[in-house]
Amino acid sequence: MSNKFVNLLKSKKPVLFDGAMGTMLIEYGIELSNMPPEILNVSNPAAIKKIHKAYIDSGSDVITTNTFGANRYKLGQYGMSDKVYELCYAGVKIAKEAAGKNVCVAASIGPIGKLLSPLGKMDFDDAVEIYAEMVKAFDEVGADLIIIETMLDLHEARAALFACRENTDIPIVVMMTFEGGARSATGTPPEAAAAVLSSLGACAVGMNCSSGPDDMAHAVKKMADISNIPIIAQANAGTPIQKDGKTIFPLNPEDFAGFYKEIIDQGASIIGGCCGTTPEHIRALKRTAQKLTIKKRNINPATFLASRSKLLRIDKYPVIVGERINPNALKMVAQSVHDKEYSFIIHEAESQTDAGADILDVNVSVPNVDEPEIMRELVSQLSSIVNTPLCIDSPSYDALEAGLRAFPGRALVNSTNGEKERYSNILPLVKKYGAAVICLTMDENGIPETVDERVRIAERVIKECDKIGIQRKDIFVDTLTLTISTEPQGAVKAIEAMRIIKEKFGVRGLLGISNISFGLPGKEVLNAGFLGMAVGQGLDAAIMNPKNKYVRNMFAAGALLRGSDKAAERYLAVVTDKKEELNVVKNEPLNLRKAIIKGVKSKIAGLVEKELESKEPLQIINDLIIPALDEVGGKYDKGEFFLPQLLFAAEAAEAATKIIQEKLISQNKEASYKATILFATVKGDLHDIGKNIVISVLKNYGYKIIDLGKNADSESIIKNAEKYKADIIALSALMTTSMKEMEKLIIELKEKGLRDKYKIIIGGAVVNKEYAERIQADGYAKDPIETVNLLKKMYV
Amino acid sequence: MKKIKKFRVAVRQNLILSMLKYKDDITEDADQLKDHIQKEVLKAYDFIQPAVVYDTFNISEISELYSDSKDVSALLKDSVFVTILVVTIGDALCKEIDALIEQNRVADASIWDAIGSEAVEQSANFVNRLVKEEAGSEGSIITPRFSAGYGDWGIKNNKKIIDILGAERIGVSVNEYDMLVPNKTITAVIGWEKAKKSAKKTKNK
Repeated sequence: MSNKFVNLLKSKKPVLFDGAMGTMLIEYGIELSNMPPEILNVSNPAAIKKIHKAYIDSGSDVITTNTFGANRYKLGQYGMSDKVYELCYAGVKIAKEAAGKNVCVAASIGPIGKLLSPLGKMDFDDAVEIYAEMVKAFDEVGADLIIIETMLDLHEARAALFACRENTDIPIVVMMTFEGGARSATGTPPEAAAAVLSSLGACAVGMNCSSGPDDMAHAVKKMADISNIPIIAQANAGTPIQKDGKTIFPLNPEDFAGFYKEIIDQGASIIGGCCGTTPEHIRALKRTAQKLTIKKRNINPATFLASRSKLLRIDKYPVIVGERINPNALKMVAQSVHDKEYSFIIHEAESQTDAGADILDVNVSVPNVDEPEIMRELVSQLSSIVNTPLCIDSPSYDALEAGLRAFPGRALVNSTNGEKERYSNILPLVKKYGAAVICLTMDENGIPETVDERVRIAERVIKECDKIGIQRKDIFVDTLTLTISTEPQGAVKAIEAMRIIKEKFGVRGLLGISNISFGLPGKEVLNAGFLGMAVGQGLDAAIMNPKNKYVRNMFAAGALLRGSDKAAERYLAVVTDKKEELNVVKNEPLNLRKAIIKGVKSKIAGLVEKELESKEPLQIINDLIIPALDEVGGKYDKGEFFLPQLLFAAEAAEAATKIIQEKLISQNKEASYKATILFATVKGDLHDIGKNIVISVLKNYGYKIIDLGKNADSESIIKNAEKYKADIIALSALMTTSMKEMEKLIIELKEKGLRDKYKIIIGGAVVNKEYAERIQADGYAKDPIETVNLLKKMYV
Repeated sequence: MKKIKKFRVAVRQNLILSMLKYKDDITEDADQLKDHIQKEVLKAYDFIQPAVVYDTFNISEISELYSDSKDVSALLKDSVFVTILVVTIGDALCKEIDALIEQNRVADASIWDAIGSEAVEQSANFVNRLVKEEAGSEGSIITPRFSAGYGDWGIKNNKKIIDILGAERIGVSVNEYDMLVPNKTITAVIGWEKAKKSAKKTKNK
């Protein structure tokens, strides 16, 4: 298809977009009292055309329409949700009139203004529909390209891209906004965005807005390294500052343009300006661009998969596909799918990732369930919990599509095979969702016995992939592992076929490992031996249980021995891994102890009830809750956990303790306390977060807590200590001016003859052990765990 | 007297993590928690309402403010002008922290507290940059920022600074103990010194 913009991209010189629209509206003194800027497309088209003309005069090859926020949701805030088509159509029409024959018109799409699920409440398909309204207008009026810009969320960028692809053939450029060039506000790094968006058919990807051009070169490089399509960069005129009540963009045109030499050097071939830029900035940019030639980029041979927050590069080092989210592998997965209660699966996903899975296979094929809906829900939940890419695995086309649509990244599809019916359905899905695909070397006649026949099936499917435009490096051929107990040559044939297919067609090799040992004792030994052989012969991906340390070590050893792990870095990381207990602990479903350690508050109630079936309430506190908290405390003390981990664990423990206390009350028993502690932040001090943190941990250790809050004077502290028969008074202060209240309280207690009645412990940023000794307090603790330990010494 | 409201503050997640005692060798669940913190940061942005009021005075006009502090006197010994500032992120985030504690969500409260501390610090850094730019345009360099409540410069000076700048306009006051309300607020002085010729930076543009 001949398209003006596509032809423009063939130039050896950078393609130049325009600059800001909003800045120019302010510059021209155009008032918008409580109206969206897009209304000007019909109320004052001459003003918009004047801005377009100014940019064309300054040298822009492409001008951008005034349609950024013309979506149903944003316009709805002004009671204009029915004007989407009119404003979008008019926006492009004005730009086309200004552009004439030589300049391209880019129809602008900005964020909807609401976060998509699971981060927010908007459904993905609703977002696609909102964008589709705009796209239909752009298509009808005939924009030269569409730019999806200022995207903070990769999932939303995908929604906009789908809306375009499902409604038009116009080329699409997608730009995200990265804070400081590092990550989008929802956690996507530039390289992951580039992998996902280029695989979905964008004709260029890049970034706009956020900060100034100084942050962009690095992000451009990251995108250019992994993507083969043009990279676009449209920076603000520096980071905005406020001066005399006005927003000022500090970079003048020359300084602004000066940064673009580096941006182009790093791989950008389309440039322009965003907020704060004017026709003068674009003119300066034109002068810079004229002196520069677009950098030649090499095609990166690696395969890239991605989650929302992480890029996975598959090149020389093989990767592990975690196999355990599969009803055939684990009965608990089948049960979870049946019950639509995914905590077990989520736990399994986390533990596989912890154990080193690079990709997680997700299979929810259970009879008599709504598999597409379950796949959609689970993929959405998993994508916000684990940061590994997913492998969407199902015999059902609908379930595959549901999973692919819901996954805000670049997935692997499991799988197609040599059956025409299967590949005719699967490959278009793979292409549509920009995924990579596993191809099994079997067909209508089953798994061929010979290596040659497996190679022929692979060839047939690879040719179909070629036709549809799926790249060879994105095809993972699985030459199928048969159990060695029934097929003595099974391992040799699978590996030989893989080696030949890789060599002949330049695709990737993948094998399921666990099948080999079916029905035989010593599974680990066989699995590890087979894996070592396969890795040695060039295996790129192994579907396996990553939690088996023995097999995982063999995987790393194989990679080292075949020369894929220079300096043995990964091998050393795996074999010196401290997670020896993984097989023991992580294979367990979530129990109360683990739920507390992991701070999974939402699961506590059910787990406590389960424990109560076989244990006495106090036994649960003493044998499960406190040891779990002690473990967390130990990790915090050693620096293996940080503060939120400690506090989430404390919250989970408290939820458990509360249920147990209710149970004790219902049995007419009362919880006995080791001691009563009266907490207070002293007079003159309003900082009580530290004190609250200590309380949240301590209340699970069998102490009765009375909290007087902040700014408590000594009179009130003494009065309440008497009233509640406190054993300990715990004081907190964060200011040098308020810490003296601690000493004052101790003096008052002495004067009243009450000092020996209470132990006094102190804490807070400004006090220390020496101060505690000086004012004759009984103890000092610097953090919650030190407080627990201090009290343990006092109340064994 | 300059008053700026609603400027944009970007918080640095690594500093928030460091306030929460995060270290690089923490690996267990660290990514999930970092993601959680990142989401809390996104939510917290809606509750950060930065505002600043500041003004620059001839040093002689303002010397009484720090006459009892050796630390500030030493800091400003070469200064010709002094900028006084009050910067806050408003009380919405503080209220949200109280609400989280009320709901017994202490972990999230501690995360929000760290976000608030970083946000007000970044707001003060924003003003610092403006002052630096203004001073630079007049051939001066600036001293480090110094806040009431540090060293020997007592917090009773909070009230004096608020009165000088009329910082009630941005919703800042002190309580009976001279503590700043909202508590994510910073008061400070910054001195302007004449730039020495040898120290003067030149830019090639």
